[in-house]
Amino acid sequence: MSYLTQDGIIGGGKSNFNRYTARINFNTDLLDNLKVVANGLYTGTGRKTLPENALGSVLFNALNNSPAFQVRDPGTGEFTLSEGLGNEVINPLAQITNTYNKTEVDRISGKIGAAYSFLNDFTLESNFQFNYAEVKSKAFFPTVFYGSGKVFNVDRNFVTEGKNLFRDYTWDTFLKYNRDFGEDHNVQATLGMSLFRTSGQFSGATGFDIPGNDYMNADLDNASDVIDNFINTTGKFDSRLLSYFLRAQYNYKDKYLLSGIIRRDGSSNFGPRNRFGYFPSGSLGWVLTEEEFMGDSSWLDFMKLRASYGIVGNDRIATNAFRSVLSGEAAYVFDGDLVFGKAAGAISNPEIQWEEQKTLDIGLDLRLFNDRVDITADYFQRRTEDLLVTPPVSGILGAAAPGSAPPVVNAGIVENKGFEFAIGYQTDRSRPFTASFNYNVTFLDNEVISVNNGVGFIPGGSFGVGQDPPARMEDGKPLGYFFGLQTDGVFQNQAEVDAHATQANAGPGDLRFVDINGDCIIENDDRTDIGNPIPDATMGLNIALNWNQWDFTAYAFASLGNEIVRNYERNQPLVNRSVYTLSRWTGEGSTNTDPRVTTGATSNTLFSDYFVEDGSFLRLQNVQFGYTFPATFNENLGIDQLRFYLSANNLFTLTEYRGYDPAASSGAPIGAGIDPGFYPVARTYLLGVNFKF
Amino acid sequence: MRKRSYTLKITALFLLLFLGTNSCSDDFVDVDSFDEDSENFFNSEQDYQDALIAAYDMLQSTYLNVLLGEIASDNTLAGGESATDVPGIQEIDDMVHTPVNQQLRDIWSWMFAGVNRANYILEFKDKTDFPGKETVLAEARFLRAYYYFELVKWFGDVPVLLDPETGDPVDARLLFGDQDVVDRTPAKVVYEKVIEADLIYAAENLPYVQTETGRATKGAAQALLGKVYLYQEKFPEAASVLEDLINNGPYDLVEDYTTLFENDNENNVESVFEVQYTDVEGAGFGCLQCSEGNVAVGFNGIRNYSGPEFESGFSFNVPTQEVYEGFEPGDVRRDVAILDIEAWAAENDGVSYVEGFEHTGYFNRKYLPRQGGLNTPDANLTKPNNYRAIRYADVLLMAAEALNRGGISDERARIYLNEVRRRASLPEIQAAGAQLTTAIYRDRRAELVGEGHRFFDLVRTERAADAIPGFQTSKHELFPIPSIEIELAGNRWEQNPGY
Repeated sequence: MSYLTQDGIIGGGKSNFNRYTARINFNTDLLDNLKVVANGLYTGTGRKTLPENALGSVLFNALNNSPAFQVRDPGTGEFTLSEGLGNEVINPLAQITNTYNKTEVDRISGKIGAAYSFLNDFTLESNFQFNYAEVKSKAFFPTVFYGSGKVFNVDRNFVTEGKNLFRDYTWDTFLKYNRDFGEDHNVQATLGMSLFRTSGQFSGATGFDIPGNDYMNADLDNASDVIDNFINTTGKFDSRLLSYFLRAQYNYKDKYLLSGIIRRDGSSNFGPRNRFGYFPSGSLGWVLTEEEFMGDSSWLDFMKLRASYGIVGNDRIATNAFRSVLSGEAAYVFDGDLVFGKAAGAISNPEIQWEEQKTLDIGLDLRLFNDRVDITADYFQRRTEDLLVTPPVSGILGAAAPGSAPPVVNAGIVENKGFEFAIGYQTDRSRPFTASFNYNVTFLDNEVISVNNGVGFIPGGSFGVGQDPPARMEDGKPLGYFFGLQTDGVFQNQAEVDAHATQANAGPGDLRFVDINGDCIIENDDRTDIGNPIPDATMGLNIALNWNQWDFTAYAFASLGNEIVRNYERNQPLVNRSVYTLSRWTGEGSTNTDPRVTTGATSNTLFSDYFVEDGSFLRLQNVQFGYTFPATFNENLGIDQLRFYLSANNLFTLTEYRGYDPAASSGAPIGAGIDPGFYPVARTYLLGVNFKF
Repeated sequence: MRKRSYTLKITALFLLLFLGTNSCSDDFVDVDSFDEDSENFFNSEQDYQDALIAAYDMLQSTYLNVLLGEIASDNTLAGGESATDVPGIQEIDDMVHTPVNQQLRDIWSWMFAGVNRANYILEFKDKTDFPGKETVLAEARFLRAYYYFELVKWFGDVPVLLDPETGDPVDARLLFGDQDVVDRTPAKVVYEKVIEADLIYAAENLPYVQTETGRATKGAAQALLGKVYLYQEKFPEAASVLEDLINNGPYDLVEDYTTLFENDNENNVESVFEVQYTDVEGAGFGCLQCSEGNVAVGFNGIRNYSGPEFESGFSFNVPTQEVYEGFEPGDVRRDVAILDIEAWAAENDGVSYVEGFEHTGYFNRKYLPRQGGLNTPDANLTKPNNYRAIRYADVLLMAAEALNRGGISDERARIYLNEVRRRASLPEIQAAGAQLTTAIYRDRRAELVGEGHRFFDLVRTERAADAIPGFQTSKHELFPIPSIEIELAGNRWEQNPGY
């Protein structure tokens, strides 16, 4: 059993997390050849959150609110209003105070399984694993005034309650065969099938006019005008996966290794014609050090060459994406009353099919000098075909209707090619002082090979307010590269403005955009490739030191060559600005980097490389320092092991990026690396103690 | 031996289990949807009615067309908080808009969403019969015409799926994939084959009085058809259908103009077609088209206002000095249409407000937020004020214009014009010919200011270049198709001229 509680970096108890867990395990051999396993796990979690990672997040407000404003009015003690900062920026502390929500999750998971051996070489195994989760959420929005015209003002308080049920199970059954033929040959084969089903139901309602504008009373029972939030849809889902597979392995003297798998996967997420996919893979291994001709080397302990090629399928998309269902919103007013009808939900794409990831890997494993040095090198080529994404779609299809959404599409082919290298060194383990170092590096080259539409690109992501999508998936470019205007310094005087191509709103002190297409007008068609969010290389370093009872470990991670877009600034007259604004253009010759500040109409906020920054970083992820008491000390206490440790996470990040976290990303394939004010990673210190009984 | 038979039994049991799971076979992944499949719908009258509500729903998103139809014209300035408050609106006001404009993309996408929802019903028009189906189909066709008319007004030639043999519009939704093949159809063809044909059908199959207020009527179809003819300068056709409506329809002018735009006077005798809004369910900024309230009203509101009668808003769409002063002396419509905030503050106690960008001192009073609404949940986006889309006064003025400009009858034109002027407490006009045309234009502006018609009235009568600063002839008559929309349809469409 365990309990954990954690308050957020921002807002303390308003963004906390706590968890209870209880576990029971049961393992027994019913017969010599029949094993039974059963276990159960209960997890109860509670979470409170603040708005994050978007326009309107607490961090966004903290960054943009004027530092000249006091938090509270000294006279009344009330929170100050954020007047003059546009309709979106509000007092972040008032926002935290007026945020009330909680989500409680009760989850029961369990597994029962049995393995039965027979006829010497056969094992039949079946495992059934299930999860049941009940997610109850409540959010209260009190009547609040943050300032005139603020979009977050609430005139009429309301409470939203939700209850979501999730059920899933996985049922795997295998028949395994494992036999040695003579001394040299080993054959293993597995025939298996797997069933997976996830289903559930969403429900929820909103009610208004909570008495006293008080969270204590925030319950639907106390509310008026309760609205069902799932009036357009049943809120039910059921998604399934059915797989059969056959795996065969052959091993000759641990020298030649051969394996092959063929699987047939069926997913309810695809239409009848595209439901099933066949996914083969195979690998070869050759342990050279087992060969006679290699002789006995004093320094080479192990050397293996390997090659593999495999295809795996991906069906992780929304259910019903292949068919059109009536889950959209249809509401109008007849005779003065709101009436509800039925409308199509997300646009369907009956043609969608399995995304396939085809991976070729050629590698070398080496162990040298009495296994002190360990080297792994791989060349890989991973080709993702029929990439499943949900890009924006032509407005004529009606995706902008309430409750509708763009379809899922198989977007095209993306290729990742690269080289991976890892080297480890370990000192003699029998000494009182031991040390080990592990370093790995991956060089990656990402390129979109083709896009399955007439235009040759798919746009995605978002920047600012009302601008075209800033990222693209396009032939010959890295996936999700940034597409915007290219700057060429700052106009120093009117003569420079006049001499340049026509640029809307331009004056001295404004960014000078490059006229890419040479038509003497700076417009949308002058956009070009201005970076991409994919790192050229990533690397990690692990260090572990031990000296008698003391131990020390550290892990550092670095990412190089990834770009990130600054998208957490609001362009309104009185909003706070980042310190770089101090070095803005203030007159001819002052700077050629940061444009002037103006309250007038400006093109400086158009998406350009001015907002694209180098996101390379080096982060010391974890450092831990520990002391284990000697066994003699423990005996008196009746424990097997006692260890104290001090641990620190995220001690520092070296980066030139001006935002909080260069590692932050939405994770979307098209539109990654755009930072709307991501929640920062915490620096945490832990003082811990481990007992073993 | 005994143990061996036990082993065999268990082996058999396991094999059975193995086969048992196998037996559910491929059907396991054939799962029905819980929500109704759109292709297996329209099995009852209720289904048709439900789909029709969806088609009506998009009317509420026309708030943006109305707002921008004023702002683009000489009636109002963009306003807002600052020069960068909703750049898409500011640019249209200044006639510097480009193919990158979120608001134009919204109009494009929302009107097509309306077209698709109407076409969904028409695609399945033959599936199930029931008494009164013609009315449902007539309403669907009225709505399709309404949305296409907006599209043609804003963008000119717009994509329509046409039957290659008959040249008639295909009664079907545009499905995923169609965006790569459908072409822009000349506006003239859209007018004739879609809009006029739909409205003629609707006028023939709808009653003057519907079962529920809010539904399209014969009068609405006739009035819209008259307007569509007038936009194409088909004066005899326009005059004919509008006079038919005047002579046979159940409409009349509301006697007291000052009551016309109050929330307790909705769907009145003058209202030929009215877009219905409510304050009980709104939406957020992430989905303005999802609101059941009138978003434009919150945008029009006085910034940080407190005081009697009105609620505050975002101070967009502020009338110019010129339109205020353009009213004839004694015209009762001026102070109903335009609120002089300084005068109002002087007359009333406790009025305070903040001046927004391009503050003129005037506000669009017809569509200002009134106190007393629930405005749930977002105060600024869920105003209940219905939009009087086609008023009988508009019908009279359109008829007058068609009769006069078509050289049909200045006498009857004067009758209709003077009916409108009488209500405004203005003397009758005795002019004829071109002078009468000018008088009709003048009254049209005074009668309809703040209602979203001005920009298109100026364009269709070729007066826009004189009236609107920055307006370039042969360019600004139409708005650009959003560049992203051209790209998403395969980069096959020509942009409108000048952009």
